[in-house]
Amino acid sequence: MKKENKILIAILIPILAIFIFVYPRILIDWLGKANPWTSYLYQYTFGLVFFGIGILLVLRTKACIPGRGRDSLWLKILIAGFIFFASFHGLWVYMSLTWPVKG
Amino acid sequence: MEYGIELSKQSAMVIGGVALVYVIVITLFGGYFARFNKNLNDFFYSGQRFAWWLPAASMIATGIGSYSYLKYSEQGFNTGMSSTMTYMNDWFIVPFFVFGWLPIIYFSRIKSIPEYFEKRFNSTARYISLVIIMAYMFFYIGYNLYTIGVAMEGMFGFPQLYSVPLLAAFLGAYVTFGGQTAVIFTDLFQGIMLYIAGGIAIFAGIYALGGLTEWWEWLPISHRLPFVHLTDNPKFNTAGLFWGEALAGSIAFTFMNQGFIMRYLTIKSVDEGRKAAFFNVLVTLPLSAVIVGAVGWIGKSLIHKQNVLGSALQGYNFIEIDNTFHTFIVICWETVYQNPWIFGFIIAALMAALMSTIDTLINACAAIGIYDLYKPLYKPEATDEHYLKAARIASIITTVIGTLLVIWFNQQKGSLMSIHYKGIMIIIPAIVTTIFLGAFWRKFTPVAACTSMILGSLITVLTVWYPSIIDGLAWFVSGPENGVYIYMRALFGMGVTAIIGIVTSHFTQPKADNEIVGLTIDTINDSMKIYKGGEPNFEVGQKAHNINVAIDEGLDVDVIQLSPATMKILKAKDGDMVYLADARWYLGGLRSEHVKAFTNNKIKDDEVLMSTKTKEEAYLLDGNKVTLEKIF
Repeated sequence: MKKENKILIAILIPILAIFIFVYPRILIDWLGKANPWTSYLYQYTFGLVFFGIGILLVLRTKACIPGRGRDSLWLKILIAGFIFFASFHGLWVYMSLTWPVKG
Repeated sequence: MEYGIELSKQSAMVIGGVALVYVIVITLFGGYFARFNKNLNDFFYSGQRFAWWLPAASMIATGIGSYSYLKYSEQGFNTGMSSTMTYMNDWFIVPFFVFGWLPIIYFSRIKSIPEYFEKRFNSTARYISLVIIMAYMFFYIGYNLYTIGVAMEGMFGFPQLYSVPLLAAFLGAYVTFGGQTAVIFTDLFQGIMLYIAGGIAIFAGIYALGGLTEWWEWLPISHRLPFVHLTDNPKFNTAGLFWGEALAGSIAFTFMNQGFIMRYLTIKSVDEGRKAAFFNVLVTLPLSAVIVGAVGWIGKSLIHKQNVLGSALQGYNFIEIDNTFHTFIVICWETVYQNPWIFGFIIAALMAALMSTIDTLINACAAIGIYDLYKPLYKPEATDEHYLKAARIASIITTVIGTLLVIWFNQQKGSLMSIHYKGIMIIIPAIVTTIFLGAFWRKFTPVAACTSMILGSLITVLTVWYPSIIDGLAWFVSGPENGVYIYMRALFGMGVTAIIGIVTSHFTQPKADNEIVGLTIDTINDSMKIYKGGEPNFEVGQKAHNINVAIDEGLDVDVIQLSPATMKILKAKDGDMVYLADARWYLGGLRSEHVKAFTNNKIKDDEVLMSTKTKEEAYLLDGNKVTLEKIF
């Protein structure tokens, strides 16, 4: 492993651990555990972290090289897919909360 | 177990008859594909020849088990549309799969996950992983047979002693003779069947409610939301689902489920595999979430409306659900006006769900049995005919073991759902983490892999008796601290395995770099060269359509010659890997082959030259045109 990668990992792991500990507590203090936006932000923020690590990993290891074959297309689909799911779920929560309920 | 509905003898006969006819039709349909199995590669991997959409479409049925309708309808009734969470949280791990694991297993020509462990680590790791993976797959086979046995017993009074072996016999028959090709084509058919039957059930429910808007407006807010409470419900909460299901569960299903891996290995190229993976996560899983869960959401809305109005909906009986596990059966039965023919069709869909999941697993277990046990340990050198026969016997043995496991499931206590998750969340964490570290970290050592799989599994199992070990971790991630820890157990197991693996790796020797070429993410480019036997050509070309086949017996097997103009369309150079397929797209590559293309200045632009042997290998028929596509 290159020295710069080792340094990067040595910095990233404690930051990630602190973030995993602190972030949900901030969310819960701000919105409360029962708020659906807490669940939404919990899943998509941590999801983004792991998704981002995945993208970073495939780029740094040259498993994905933008410009080679269809790699750029797949990369765009990956990012678009994340945005799609995050937006779709966000809209879903919004509609659930704002649309009137009968009975 | 009763199913909350009362069937007359005549209705039970009709429903049972429809289901039986369906099972027989599928068995005959699957048996037809025995003719496409000339060797072991055909039997288990269909010769890596299919277009992306065929395995992708067949994955619909594979991913929906017989328990899915019952379990997710119950979940949908209890917690609402958040029942979709387990189907719609897979995107986070997709980059690791499409650019990491998929090319690793494809280009290194891995036939089974245990085989990867041998190449990446050593034979000890191979057999430890084999035990865990077999436990995972046999668990699913036994569980699926058990759930359908329970349903048949509850609805029709058929004792499991007869219904389970009978169903297993039909299933085993077509998998044994038809192999992976039969599995893919029957699953394609069954996927359509599942969606039609699920669609009928949903349509009937929405119609009973008075339309989509009525359904939505009568649904309580708690049941409209796509997420559950962060921590409240010990068995279903957002924090637990994220760590245990979105990460551990999704990686397990995508990375180590031999059935799914084999499906990807039937595809003609890695790029097509990526299309299948994207389609699966973007389209198939969300749609399946609706198909299996919607009856529960409809049931909730319907009962809420009934209770507020104080009477049954016009034209229907007053619907009551005493036991929420019966949600799917009760709501379907009542909203189709107790019509036994339509209901029989829906029950046939339950059969389809069972058959399509188990056939994949039987084929996958048989593949492991042959590639990891029989071939390396018992008979390393034998003819294709011999291995094909052995593969068929392995399929029969797998079916028998799966059937016998139903006896064990019958002795377990607790709900179907709790039996399922208790089992899976104990089995997967250690192996999932080991695969992940092996594929993405070059310095992960063989000793560390073996140690982490054994200790990781043991410590995870220990948490069943000492759940308080997980308290600290659950507190750390703000997860549920309730002592139940279904999903948190998976996170705990993954964490412990990772720590053991990383620490052990720092004190032991990794394999030399040249021994793991193509087996880690940073060496994929090298394995592409090995796979092709030359420098890959990444230039993106177009397909060449409507090409006539001409024979030249002087050409080697799997070599074709094309005109310069055709090579230019494909953007191919001499020696590039080209995919040759029957021009009829709807065959999905059933008649196709990978070949090496070379330029021949003397042939026509609409012609491809090949030997008779190559034509036979591709299952091409006389007079049919072909389509050509450069792989790389």
